[in-house]
Amino acid sequence: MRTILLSGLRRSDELVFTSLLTLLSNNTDEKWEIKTKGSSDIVVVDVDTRNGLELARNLERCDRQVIRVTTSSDTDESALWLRKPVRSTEIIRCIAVLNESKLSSNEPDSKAILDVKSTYRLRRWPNKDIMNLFPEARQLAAVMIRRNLTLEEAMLISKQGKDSLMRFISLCKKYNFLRENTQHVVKDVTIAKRSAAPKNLFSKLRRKLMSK
Amino acid sequence: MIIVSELKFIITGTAGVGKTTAITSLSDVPPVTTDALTTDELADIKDTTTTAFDFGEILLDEHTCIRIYGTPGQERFRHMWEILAEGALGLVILIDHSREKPLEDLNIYLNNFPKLVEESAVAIGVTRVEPNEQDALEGYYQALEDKLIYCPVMAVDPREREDMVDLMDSLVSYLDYANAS
Repeated sequence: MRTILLSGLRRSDELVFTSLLTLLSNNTDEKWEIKTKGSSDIVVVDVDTRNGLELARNLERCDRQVIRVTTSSDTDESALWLRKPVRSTEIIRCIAVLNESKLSSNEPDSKAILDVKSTYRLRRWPNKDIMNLFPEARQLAAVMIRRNLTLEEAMLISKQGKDSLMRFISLCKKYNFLRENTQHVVKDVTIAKRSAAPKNLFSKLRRKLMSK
Repeated sequence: MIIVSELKFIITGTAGVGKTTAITSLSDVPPVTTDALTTDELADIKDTTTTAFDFGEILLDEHTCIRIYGTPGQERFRHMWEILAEGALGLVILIDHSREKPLEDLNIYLNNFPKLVEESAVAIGVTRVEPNEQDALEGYYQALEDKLIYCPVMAVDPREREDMVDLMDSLVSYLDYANAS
């Protein structure tokens, strides 16, 4: 039995998936369970929305199997792309691609853990009052202005407890600096640093700027 | 002092916005300027203007020095923009909010520093924002979001070192943390 999660699909596309996978499960050795949340072997994501695209990228970074659904004609037909409106023959092609990659992979099966959660993203760089709430506020703001974060991810980045973080969030909300969304999220996204310069350069520079 | 490699930031923006003043606020050494007497329409608002670049330094330790280059503001000096931007760590754009079309000004600088904007980091400082213009920055954020650019934007007075430190700090924080995997 393999599990597949459909995220953000149009009703008509969902129906095509559901019908085809039910048919396959009833009449072939392919057994599928369709899910709307929780863990799954494969995730199908509508990437024509910003949240969808971000979700697909996050999942792929975690080495998850993702089928992207889009209206764009600029897709690779040999890969895991489906063009809207979704056709059964194209789903079967994608399943074949997945089966091939499963056969050629020595990696053990892993599941994408998805959940429906509130995520937060900054609309604006917060003012000094908010930035001075705790030392890691700038670090948190820098990540949060670029992408959606769950409360847990924000706690991890800011090294703050829930109460302190909720104060940051509620103040940002009060000044309309923050946007709150509800969406499917990957639970195990890791936050990594990137720097084009020597590792401690930025902290040195920050200290220097603040010291005068 | 040994300079291991050139680590630099660029400050650009409209002519007369306060780039030279901003560098003076941040630099540990008296800034080097390449001013010439203004002969164009700017003569009404300032006596001299930058023709090649301004240059200041922040000394971090005996081996490390950050250079801050200010570009000339006028588009006719855009060849200097490209030369100065090569290899820079990040970009500060200063926009004079009192000008007729500040969002068009912003676009000019975003479009002329594409590599820094897309691959590194940018922070926008908006000058001459009146205290009663609470929502002045909203239009800038909206214009940036339309281009899928997410970066710090803040109202600043280039004469105030604290404002410029905050702006630089936001840029450095962004560089350090925003490009999370």
